[in-house]
Amino acid sequence: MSIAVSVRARGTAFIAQFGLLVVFGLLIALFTSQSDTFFTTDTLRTIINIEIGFMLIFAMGLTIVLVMGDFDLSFAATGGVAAYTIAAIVVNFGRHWMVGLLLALVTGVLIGLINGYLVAYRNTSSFVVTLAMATSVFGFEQIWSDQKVIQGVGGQSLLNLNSISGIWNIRVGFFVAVVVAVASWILLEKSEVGRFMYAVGGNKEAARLAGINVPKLRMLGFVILGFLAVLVGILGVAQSGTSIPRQFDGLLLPSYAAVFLGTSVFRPGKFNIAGTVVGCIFLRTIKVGLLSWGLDTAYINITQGVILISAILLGKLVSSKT
Amino acid sequence: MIPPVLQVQGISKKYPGVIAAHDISFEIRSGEILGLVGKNGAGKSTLIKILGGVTQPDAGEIFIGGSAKVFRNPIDSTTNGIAIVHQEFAVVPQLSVAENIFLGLGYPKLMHGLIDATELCANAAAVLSEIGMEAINPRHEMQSLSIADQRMVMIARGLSAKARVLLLDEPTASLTDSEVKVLFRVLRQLSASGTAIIYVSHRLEEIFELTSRVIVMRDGGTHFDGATHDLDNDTMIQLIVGGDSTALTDRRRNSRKVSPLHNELEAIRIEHVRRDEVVSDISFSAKHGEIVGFAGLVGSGRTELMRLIFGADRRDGGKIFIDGVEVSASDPRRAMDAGIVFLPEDRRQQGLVMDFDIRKNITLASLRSSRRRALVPIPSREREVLVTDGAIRRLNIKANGPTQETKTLSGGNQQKVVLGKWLERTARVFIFDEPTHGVDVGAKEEIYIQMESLAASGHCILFISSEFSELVGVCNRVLVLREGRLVGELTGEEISEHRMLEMCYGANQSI
Repeated sequence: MSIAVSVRARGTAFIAQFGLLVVFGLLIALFTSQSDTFFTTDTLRTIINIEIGFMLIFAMGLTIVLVMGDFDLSFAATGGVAAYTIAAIVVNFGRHWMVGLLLALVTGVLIGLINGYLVAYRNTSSFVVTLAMATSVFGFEQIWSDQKVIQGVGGQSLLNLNSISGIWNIRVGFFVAVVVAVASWILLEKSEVGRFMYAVGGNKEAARLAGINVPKLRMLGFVILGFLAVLVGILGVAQSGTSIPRQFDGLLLPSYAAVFLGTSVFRPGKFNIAGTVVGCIFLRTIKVGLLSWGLDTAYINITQGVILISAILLGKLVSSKT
Repeated sequence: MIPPVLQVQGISKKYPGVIAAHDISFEIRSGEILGLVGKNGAGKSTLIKILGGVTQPDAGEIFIGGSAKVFRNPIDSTTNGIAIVHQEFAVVPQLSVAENIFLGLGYPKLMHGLIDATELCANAAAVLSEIGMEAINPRHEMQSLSIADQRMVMIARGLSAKARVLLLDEPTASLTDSEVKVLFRVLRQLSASGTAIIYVSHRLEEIFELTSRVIVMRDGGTHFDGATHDLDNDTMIQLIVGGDSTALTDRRRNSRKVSPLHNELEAIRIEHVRRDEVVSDISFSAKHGEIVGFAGLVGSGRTELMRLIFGADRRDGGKIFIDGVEVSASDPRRAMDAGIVFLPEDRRQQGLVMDFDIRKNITLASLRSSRRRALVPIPSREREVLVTDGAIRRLNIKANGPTQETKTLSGGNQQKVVLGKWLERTARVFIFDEPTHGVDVGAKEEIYIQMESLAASGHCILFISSEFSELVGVCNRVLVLREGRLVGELTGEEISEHRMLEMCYGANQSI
């Protein structure tokens, strides 16, 4: 009797921690059985090269902000304006790409500082502040871009990442994403700062009374995300040589989806870096898998939405049982 | 004979380890003003909760106008004509006075179903004028009113709910003398028109002035029920205090004379610390090795004072010195650097990150010292586990191990985790705010032992408790606070529950 109970409890705990991975495995098996072209290195390369890098970088920064209980809706816009800053400096003004790069980085950090200051030191709603920030940042992008695509940014040394890099034909963006993921994992899961960030998310008053500088950490979160958003913008321009209006807007909600999906693995109900990584891979793989079936993106969106809600519900169900 | 408006028969309520109310019986008649007094933990709050339908009694019955009623929730209580004005009252600050008065009681509607604001305000004005409060504009936002006026609005709300019994819990807290006069006039007027009033207060002079009958509660039961004018101030205090509970007093005689003070050096000195409306001009000092108790009734400003000392709240004036060095800013980090640590009253809200395991909570305030390498800000798991294992053993925390979730621990063990967190800091002054609240007897004793061993090793301890017997058992000296002021000091053999309560109630006041 008691053994049965403990087996069931362990079973529930297992589902809570690894259920998403099991579903992931089943889906890969399903895609493979239905399509000859899915389970190939080409598919893997597609996922790596065009689908996952940018989302992963965004989602890492987003996880850090969400851990502390804040929201940021401005990172996609920040990435976009960064891309245009570089493109405009290089193509329209004919300056060295380094100038554009520096300007973009300053912009991203500044956006993070303003977001963080208003939210953490002025006690405003992060939802409203970053929504307003996204709107105004997009306005700046419109000024830079005149709502036109800027092409031909490449051609100069370091920025010319146009070609596929030599290592297994994988783009630089992916390697950068891996570095960002490892760095985020060390920061959030291993370092003192990360522990304090989790404490801030868990109980702001207890954290404050334990001597933690709560507003400073919250601001740091926004600055990190601002910086990473610029990184995505730089990589975007560098790899394609072009800058497109609202280039990264399509990644805003999927990044949130990935982070929330990540709360259903490893540490049920809690934001965690490893979970976010799994969430990104999961969402992107499903997208590629469904595309290989020839499904329209509309259905892919619906499927991803349903998966996210199911995962969150499952997590709630399991955690209320334990 | 007309049955009493409210009759309570044999009400009892137990919480794990505590008998909060024991066989309480009383009645109140239409138009009567009944005083209800008792020290902290005497059972008043439990009785109020039961009458308000917030908690349900384990035994006993409530009769309204002679017929038995069961209050399953606050709505049952309201519909049976009981209105309660809580000390921390429930208002919606952004709504208007009129909307607050009739909140949940039904708003008048226009034909198409929207709220009839004109009618609503007219109704509110009518109720307010019934208690002589025409000066309050029903259209104003609740938050623009003074505390006194908000309380009047809540009384008006009780009236509009057709209350036959009006219960007021510490209604004069933070009211000025003239506001109190207005309140009393309104209450007398209500009683003249037939409303029964139960008046709960720590201020005995108000009880004598206002009430015709008084109930004294002690240890969850009623110890006196009779005419107020049969008592004088001293006999009422005697009734409230009762005999000193002997267990903890004996404990002191057995285990702790007055410990030889470490080196007679001043550890902390507070000069003229104040914060508007809660703490007015308090000065004291305490030595190394000394345990100083802080006695006071609810609302006396003890917790507020400690939060000012720790810098958790901003002070409006005054200076704080640790070992003779001034702590300048109101900021917990500065206070911690100066050597003060603070165990807050509410461990769930302020002391612990409930999502963390024991290890992460224990090391939170001292994480630096768990670094593997001094210059790399990455804590070593092994060291943290070592520290946590040590704390678990030292404090006798009942847990499976360092990785057990904090929220799965019992109250006493959670409190020990908070204590463990601060013991990892090298501090000079420890502030304990109600450390034994909601903690079982065994864990209490262990917390006392920790405090005593800290004192023995030269630390200074400021100890707030509402259980005065434990102050008797543990402290070298006790300071008494009343309405934000320091009103007395007891040392050595003077320290007794009785003396503390007399000071809390202002028995020696020269009137």
